[in-house]
Order: sequence, then C-alpha cells, then structure tokens
Amino acid sequence: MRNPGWAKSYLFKVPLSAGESYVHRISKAVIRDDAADKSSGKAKYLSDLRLPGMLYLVVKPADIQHARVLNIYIPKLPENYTVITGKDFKGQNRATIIAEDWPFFAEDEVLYYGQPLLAVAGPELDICEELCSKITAEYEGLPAVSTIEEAQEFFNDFHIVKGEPEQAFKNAALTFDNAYRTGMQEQAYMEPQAMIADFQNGMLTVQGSMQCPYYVKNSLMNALALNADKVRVIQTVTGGAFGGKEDFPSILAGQAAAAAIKTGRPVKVVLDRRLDMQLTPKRHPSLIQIRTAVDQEGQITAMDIDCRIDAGAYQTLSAVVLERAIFICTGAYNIKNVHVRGRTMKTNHIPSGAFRGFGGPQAHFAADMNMHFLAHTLGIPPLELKKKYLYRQGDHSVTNGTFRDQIKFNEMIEKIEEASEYSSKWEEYNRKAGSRPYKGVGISFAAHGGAFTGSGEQDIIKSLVRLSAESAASDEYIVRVLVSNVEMGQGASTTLRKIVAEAMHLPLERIIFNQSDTSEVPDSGPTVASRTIMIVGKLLHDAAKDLLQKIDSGPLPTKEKPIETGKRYVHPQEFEWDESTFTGDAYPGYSWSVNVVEVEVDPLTYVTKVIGSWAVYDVGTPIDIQIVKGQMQGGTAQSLGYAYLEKMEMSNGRPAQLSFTDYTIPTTLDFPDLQCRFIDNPYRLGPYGAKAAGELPNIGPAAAFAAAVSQATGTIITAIPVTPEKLEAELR
Amino acid sequence: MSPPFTVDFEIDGRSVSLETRPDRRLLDLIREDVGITGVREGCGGGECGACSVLLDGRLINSCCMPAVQMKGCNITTIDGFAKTEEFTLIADAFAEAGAVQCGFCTPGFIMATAALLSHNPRPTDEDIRTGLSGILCRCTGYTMVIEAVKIAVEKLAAADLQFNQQTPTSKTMKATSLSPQTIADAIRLLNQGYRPVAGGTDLIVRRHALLKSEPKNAGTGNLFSCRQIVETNRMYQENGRLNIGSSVSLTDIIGFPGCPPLLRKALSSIGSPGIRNAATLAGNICNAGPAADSLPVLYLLNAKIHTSGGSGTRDISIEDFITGPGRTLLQPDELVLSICFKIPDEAAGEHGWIFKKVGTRAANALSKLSVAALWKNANNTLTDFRLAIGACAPTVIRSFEAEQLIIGSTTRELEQHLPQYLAVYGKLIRPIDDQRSTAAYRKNTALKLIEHIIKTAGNIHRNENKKW
Ligand SMILES: Cc1cc2nc3c(=O)[nH]c(=O)nc-3n(C[C@H](O)[C@H](O)[C@H](O)COP(=O)(O)OP(=O)(O)OC[C@H]3O[C@@H](n4cnc5c(N)ncnc54)[C@H](O)[C@@H]3O)c2cc1C
Ligand code: FES
Ligand code: FES
Repeated sequence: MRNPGWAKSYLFKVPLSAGESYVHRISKAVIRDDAADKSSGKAKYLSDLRLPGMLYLVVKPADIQHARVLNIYIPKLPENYTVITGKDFKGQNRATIIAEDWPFFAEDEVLYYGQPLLAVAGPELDICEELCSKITAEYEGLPAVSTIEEAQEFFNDFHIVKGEPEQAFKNAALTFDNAYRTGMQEQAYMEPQAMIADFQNGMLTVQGSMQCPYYVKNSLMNALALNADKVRVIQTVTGGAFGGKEDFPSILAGQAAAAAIKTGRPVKVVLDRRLDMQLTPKRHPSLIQIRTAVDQEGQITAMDIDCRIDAGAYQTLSAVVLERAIFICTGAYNIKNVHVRGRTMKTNHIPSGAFRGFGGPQAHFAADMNMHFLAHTLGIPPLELKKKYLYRQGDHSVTNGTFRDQIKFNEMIEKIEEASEYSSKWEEYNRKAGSRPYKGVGISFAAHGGAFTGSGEQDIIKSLVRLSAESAASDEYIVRVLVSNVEMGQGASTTLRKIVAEAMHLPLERIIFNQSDTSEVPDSGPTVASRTIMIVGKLLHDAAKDLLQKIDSGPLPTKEKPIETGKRYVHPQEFEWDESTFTGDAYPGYSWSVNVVEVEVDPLTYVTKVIGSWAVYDVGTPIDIQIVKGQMQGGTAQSLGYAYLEKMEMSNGRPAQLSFTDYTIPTTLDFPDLQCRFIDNPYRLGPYGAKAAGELPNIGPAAAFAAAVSQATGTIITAIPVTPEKLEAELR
Repeated sequence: MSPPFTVDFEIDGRSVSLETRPDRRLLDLIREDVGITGVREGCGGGECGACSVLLDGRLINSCCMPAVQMKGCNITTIDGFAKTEEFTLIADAFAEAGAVQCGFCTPGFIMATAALLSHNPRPTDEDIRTGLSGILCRCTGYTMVIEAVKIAVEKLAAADLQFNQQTPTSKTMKATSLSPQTIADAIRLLNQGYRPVAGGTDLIVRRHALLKSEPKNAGTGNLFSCRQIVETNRMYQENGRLNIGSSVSLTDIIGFPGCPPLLRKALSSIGSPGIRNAATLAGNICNAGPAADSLPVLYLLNAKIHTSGGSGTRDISIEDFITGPGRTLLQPDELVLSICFKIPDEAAGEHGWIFKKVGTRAANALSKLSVAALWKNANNTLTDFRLAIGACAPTVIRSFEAEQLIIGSTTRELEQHLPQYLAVYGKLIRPIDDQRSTAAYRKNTALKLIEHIIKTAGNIHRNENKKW
C-alpha cells in the first residue's frame, strides 16, 4: 500500500448528537470542500460573472393563457438591440427534455400564460426591459383548460395490473372511494435561473446554473444544429436546484445561445424572482382517486387507483414523473391486487417539471392518507393498520418486481417511537379529542426507488465515469474525479471524493472535483433521481479500485503521463424489466423512511403549528452522516412546506403567488429542530453500502403532517396544502 | 429617469463616491458599481435576506435601501467582514455544523449572525430563530443553521472576542440637495416633484418590481431623504404623549422604553429584523396598505399625524389621514414629520390588550387579517373598550357605535348582547379574496377573534385558552 496513514486524514469534527451513531467509517463527517468560499461570498454564481462586450437578454412572456398569435408589434429598436424568436433556431425551436415538444419561443399559438414570445438582447439591461414592455401582441383568444378535471386530452395513459384486482373487488365485503389532491409546488431554489452563452469561431460555450450539463448540451445540439464538438457546457456554482434545474436550463440555455449566435456577442440572462416563478416548471398537481376493497375479515384486498397529474401545456418529462407515481402508487404498503391507471393531463398551464421526489410525494400522500382513512373507518389505530401492510423482503411491488433486500421497518418503528413517543401521544390526543388547543400526531411511511427506471441506467443513460491520476509532487499524486454530476448544494463534490479517497486509501485533499465542464468530463448522466451516490458513486468506487491496481503495479503517474481509468454502467443481471408492459424490477434498490409529525391547530384561526418532526431513514450507508442529515432536514422542510405553507394557485392560468411574500416557504420560525436518525442496512450494490437518499425526505412528511392535522381537527385531510382557509371552510 | 447625483459612503473600510440615481438600490451599487458580488440577489423584494449587509452596524436588506439614503453611511458587506477574526469563527461554526449547502444564503446568515451576536452575545434558541428569520434557506431546513449559531457563540466566547457594538449615530454631515436639513428645503423638493423615501421597504421594492415589469407605471425615481431633518429623527415622551419622528426605524420604536406594549407587539410582527431596522412607522402609514400592521393599533391609540407643507402644519387623526387603500390626505407638497398619541395608562390588573395577526407563516409574513384591542375592566364592568380590525376592508375598521354599546356593560350584559355586537362588526367587515386568503376566511376568523376578545375583556372566559 502506497499511502499508509490515510485514515487519519479524515477530519472528524462534530460530536454526534444524542441517539445518533454511524457504523461505517466512511459515514464520519468531514468539512465540506465548498463551505469556505460560499461563506465568504467568494464563490461565483452565474450572476456574478461578466464577459467583455456582454449583452443582456430579457424574455417577453405572453399575457394570455391560450390564444392564436395574430401579430406581434415591436417598436423600432435602438442600435445594438436585437429581437430573438423561434426562427433563430437552425435545428428546431424545441428543447430536448425527454420529449421534444416545448418550444423556446411560442410560434403561432400561445399555450400557457407566461409562455415566452420572444426576447430582446442588448447592452443595457433596463433598456431591454423597457423595450420588452413596449412589445405588444395581438391575439385571438381560445378556450383554456385549467384543471385536471376539465382536461380531456392527455399525453400518456398507462395501466398496470398486479394480482387479480377484478376478482378481489367482486369478493369484497366493503369498498371505499376516495379522492386525494396535491397542489403545485415551486422549487424556490435561492439562486434564480441564470445562463451565459458565447459563440466564437463556430464554438458555442454555455455556462450556467444547472443539474444536467449533458441534457443542456444535447438540447443545444439539436436546437441549433451543432455538432457535439462545437458545444461546450459548463456548470457554474449552483445555488440550489431540487429538480428545478433539471429541465428549464435547457430552455434558458437555448434562448441565450440563439441570441449569442445571432449577435456574435456573449449573452447573459438572469431571471429575477418574479420571472423565475412565472416561467419555470413546478411540481405536478395531482388528483388521485383510490377505490379500496376490504374483505369479510377486514383485510384490504385490492386497490383500483386512478392517478392523474397536471402536465401542463407540453409533455417534456411528465411521463417519467407519472411512472414514478404509479410504480409506487400504494406507498410503502403491500397490497396484493392492484390496478392503476395513470394519465398526464394536458392543460393550459406552464409545463410541470422535475421536483425532488418526482411523482413520489403525490403518490405517497394519496396512498398514506388512504390508509389513514381506512384505519379511521375500520376503527383501527393508524399505526396498527399501516404496520400490517408494510412491505417486507420478498414481497412484490406494484410492477411485480421483487424487493430483494432486507426491509427493516420494525427497527425503524422502534427508533421513531423512541424519538417521538408517537403511540403514547396518539393515544393521549385521541383521549383528549376536541380539547384546546387542538393537537395531533401523525405517522407515515415512504419508499423511494433509486436511479432510473428499469434498465434505463444501462440502456438510456449509459453512464460513464473517469478518474485521472496526475502527479502533484515527486512522490504524490492527485486524482481527478471526472463526472457530469454536479455539486448543487447536496454535497456531491465532497461525498464522491470521499468514496474515491476511501477506495484508493488517499487523503481526501488529494481527490479533486471541479465544476462539471462537458469538454472535460464524460457523460455520467444527469444529477437526478437520487442516482449520484448509488450509481455514479459506485462506478467511481470501482474505477478507483482499478486505478489503484494500475498505479500499484506500475510507475507512478506523472504530469505528462497521467494514469486514467473509466467505468461504464452495466445493469446487474438479476433484475428484470419490461418497459413495454412496466413489469419487473422498476428500480435496483429502495430506500425507506418513517416520519412522525406533531401539530397544534389554533381553534380560532385554524393556523397550524408544527411542534415536532422526527424521521428514521434507511438509506443504506450514509456516505457522510452530516451531509445526508442536511439532505434529510432540507427535504423534510420542503415537504412540510408542501403540506401547509406553500400555496401556488392558478387563476385563469396565471400563478397568483409570484413572490416570496405570497409564496411562503418556511422560515427559521416555522418549525422546531427537524430530528432524524438512520438505521444500518448496507445496500449490496452501492458504494460502501450507500443507496438513494436525496429525494426520500420529500416523500413522507406531508402525509404525516396531514395525519396529525386529521387527528387534531377530527376531519380526514384529503388535500394539500392544508391552509387555514381550507380547514376553516371544512370545520366551520 | 431620475437625474444623476453623487453619493459618498464608506464600504468595508473604504470611502466611495458614486454617481448614480437616487432610487438605485444599495444592492446594485454594491454588486455592480463597487463590484462586491458576495452580496446576492435572491428575490429583490426584501424577503430572502441574501442581500443582507450591515448599515452602521445594523442588519438591513440592501435590495430595499435606496442610494439617496446612503450619504455618510457605513456599510459592512460579507466581503469586508470576511477579513475579520469574528468571521473566521462564525464561518468555521457554519462549516462544522453542516449549515452550508448551496451557499447562496450563507453570507446573509453570517451577516445576520454577526448582527445578532453583536448586541446579544448569549442568545436563546428563540433569539437565534428570530434574529435569522429574515434569511430564507431552501436547502437546510434551518436545523443545522441554528446549530451553527450556537457553535459560533461558544467559539466567540472561548476566543474572548466581542463585537464592536456599533450603535447607529445620527450623523452630522453636510446636507446635499437630496438630504435637506430643513423642512423648508424639503418642501422645496416636494414642489419640484421629488418624493420622500424612508426605509424604502415599500417604495423601493414596489418601484423595482414595476421597473422590471411595467416601467411606464414605475413613476419617477426622484427621491429625497428626510434623515437630516432633526424633527423627523426624534422620539420622545412629553405630557403623557409619545412623539415618534418619521425617520425613526421600527427597531428603535420597539426598543424605546415608553413604547406601549401593544404597539411594540404590532411593530415586532412586521417583516424581519432587517426590514424593521430600515422601515419606519411613517412609511407604514403613508403606504396606507389595508394590511399595514401598525394601523389597527394607531387607530386604537387615536394617533395624530403631524405634517408640514406649503400651507403650514397640520395634525390629522389617523382615521382621517387614511382615505383608502394606498390613499391618504397627504398633499403633494406635504411631509409627515411625526406621529403622536397619548400613552394608554396601564394601572395593573384592570387593563388589557390584545394584538393578533393572522399571517401567512410564522415570520416575515404579511397579514391575512389582524385584530387589536385595548380595554379597561373595573369590577366586571368594561369602562373602556376599543377594537380595530386590519385587512378586512379597504381601510382599518373601528366601530365607535359598537364600542359605545360595549362600554359600560357588565360581564353578564356582555354575554347577553354578544350576538348584537358581533352583528355590528359583521356589517363592517367586507374583506376580499386575494392571493393570500379568502374573504370568507377573513370574515369568519375576524368575528371569532372579536368574540374571543370581547369575552376576554369582559371576563366571560377566564379559563378558556388565552394563549396567543
Ligand atoms: C419583506 C417585507 C416584509 C414586510 N412585512 C410587513 C408586515 O409584516 N407588515 C406591514 O405592515 N408591512 C410590511 N412590509 C411593508 C413595509 O415594510 C412597511 O410598510 C414599512 O413600515 C414601510 O416603511 P418604510 O420606511 O420602509 O417606507 P418607504 O418605503 O420608505 O415609504 C413608504 C411610503 O411612505 C412615503 N413616505 C415615507 N416617509 C414619508 C414622510 N416623512 N412623509 C411623507 N411620506 C413619506 C413614501 O414616499 C412612500 O410612499 C414589509 C415589507 C417587506 C419588503
Ligand atoms: S434580495 Fe432577497 S431580500 Fe434582498
Ligand atoms: S444553503 Fe442553499 S439556500 Fe441555504
């Protein structure tokens, strides 16, 4: 071994809090490599960059929901100001966001309020803005579709059958029909979307805040008819994303690139908060109807689920969101017989897009609250009923895949009881029902399949990673991690480096991770679907082992002669998946959580206060306990916001809440400390036992919150966000 | 476009002199003109705190502060603060606690932490949460951020480091044309079409948003500052009355020993620490928003607005002053100098008050509705009773008719006539549906709160929940 004493280089700093432990050395927390520059303000986000001769780009959104565009009136433009339209895309006026249907700029028809009509580029930002405000359009209004219920058209219609639901419904002693609704949710990353494009000597370079550099690159190549070697995409320090920078950066990059090509100057576009909220995709609203069959013995025998999500005006990636929702449509519960139909409804709304959890939060809210409803109706305490149906190893998923790995719900329940005292609180509040202030406690369970669906990682993503060892000093070398997965706040630059360091027995400082640049890194896939550690981390781990062997068996790398290894993903043989029928193992591994939320509801105002939040997670081995904890707490806050604070209403297709004044994400005073714990359950296919983590915390808390409010108010919550207005109307 | 003017101030220890527009945001001066990019723009609306800086040692949101207010000020940004030992300890605490994820919010949190610890070196949990409540973070869920501040407290104590407590000083400096020292000069500016700006938290936020979306409706950027006018900077008690100058910040009003607790509570519910450090009571009044949180209390206190203008000075009662949503009696050539009211006496036991704001979330929230009340109960008879409701009609509701019915009632009478009182209020409550709430919720909730208040004031329900 060339690097004795490496283990000492782990900087252990924070003492563990009570009840917290880690089993594996790699879980030990280290100081993040990006903390210092971010704290001092030295980190450069896109809006901090300026290029010489740079122009600004301002987008003109349509102020009508659905209309034919008859005419656009453009005032005489001053010198150096240019209008960019859909005609400026040599390849296609469509972004590639899985489907290729969302235009950069509207053509003959406007399909949603705020759809970009064109953009103005020029040297002064305020003049561009003023020119935009003087541009007017003449429309012929068309009827608009504003709700899932009204929508007739859909982009996708999927069916899955597990077992024999028809038979089970025939034999049912009781059946129940319920409808569950979830609202639109804004990602609300703190750094608004931003991009700079530059076209020099036939080469297009785009820099920006993004999750998926290769998505942006591919979309640019298609839209602008440029070869792969003529497009370079560089991710800049990204101030939060949460899915919101998976899809839309392809649009913004296209708009800026078209302007750069047309003007020959670098073009910068930074959305202000209002425009960001108006122009960018949000979490799909859902309407999920569940019919449940219960037999003579009170057993739940079947569910018939109709899941509709509001895809908005263009399909983009909605099919994949819907797949995630229907694959997990019974939540963490094993229901023997299931029929699920899923549809992506076409409405005149901004296209819905990616948001952490990606269909999971909607499906779980419905599934868990339906169990809550059943418990209530059958007169069984919710935990008792839920426990009975929790998935176990060997059970079959909705897609008839097999849960191959151990599922440790018993241990998780034990832990959460210990932390939250759920059961005794539940009994106490039940006894004191109606006494003031109203109090309640709720519990929910969640599952999240990591990575792309089925064999998508192998067939579609074809993830490739590279490591490159170069000499730094005479007898030392550094290793560069070359992946297209980005650091966007979630800690990937630290955790991926830790995996390589551990595998190569090197001090962490010698592993280098830079902002992703497509001219340097291979396509290891997008930074989505909780796949970065589980899939890319594992590839890096394996590549690191190869690299170590190469180095150990030959001369050390030098500056001139770096030693490289690459690794491409191969889907394990044991999994089977039929994409055409959605049958088999939808995901190679699952992560699990249990959540408890405790609330107090003001009997006069119906304002709800979260007074406790606890969660226990099985994410395999946390690669860095503190980073993973940060993910869990942040996701929990987003899910609680989703449950009651974050209201995004459409009025005639217009978002009514377009500022942080009106769209109220949580502040420091909204919740107490968010408690979380982990259990040890290493995942056999992940690096050091790690599996999906990033999205899991967004999935369960909303239902736990709704269950708590249900207990506090004595009414079953079936829709989120649970606003005081809704509670008041219900309980008046 | 407004005419250029020159503003001189200190930033991170150096003096700058910038030619700019009076309405230009301090944020833009810092980022674009001075070139410090660690001060970030997350919302441009005073909501996220990413643009936080210290102005004379106090936390403010630089996206709300206009250039015209900067003359002679001392600004500390993250860039300057990062060179101090205190920063190193706080930043280390943030790194150790895991409080940094995407980092966009982090400089704001660090400035807020510095501001908090400089006047409160041993904050409680609640102090920390309140002190940081103007900084939004979407990544962390805040738990680790709170932890970071606690670690910072320990580190600072261990290093025996104390912040220089910079108390804002009213600066004596040369008046420039846009910072007049006399009322006469101010009125001259008003006559030339200039408008006064105080904290900018209404005016600058609104103007900037309009410049982005509908520049033609943004009005002029011809602003001037009243900070140099002595009369507007004073706050004093005299003959049982409190006088609050129009340039005094909400923070200073809240901290003033003579401030009635009812007003303190209402003002403390406005925005976040950074907003309250800049915003003024005069601004809240002149903005005349239906949801302005100071107004219900000022109605109860029968506050008078003291103005000065081309045709002399006036003392206008708050009820007359506010004529509709966003409308006041103020003439184009008139300036608010101060707000004045009789301090309610607070003999122990008999007096009671309630201010209840129903906001959109726990902090930094606008009112869906609010209710304020003040009463005196002597031997189970209400000898004084005043109640005002905010955000439930174009202007604040205060019913002298209902109050006259209620005053003089005994507990039993109150109980008997409660439906009648509620009916009087019910007729006056005419709320609307908007992006924050619904008319039905506002009305029903206001009536429930009024009922609760009457019962509390009249000792009808001593035992029911009074915990607000
Ligand atoms: C994030 C945020 C949160 C907020 N939260 C709340 C809240 O919870 N409750 C609430 O009520 N408000 C809230 N506000 C609104 C605002 O902060 C308050 O209304 C504040 O009191 C305004 O004071 P200002 O000094 O900043 O006013 P400015 O913006 O400076 O001025 C407001 C208006 O008053 C006029 N004016 C100022 N001084 C004078 C004078 N001396 N004579 C004549 N006219 C004058 C100005 O010309 C302008 O029209 C919030 C604002 C923000 C940005
Ligand atoms: S930019 Fe958000 S508060 Fe100033
Ligand atoms: S760390 Fe990303 S917003 Fe706070």
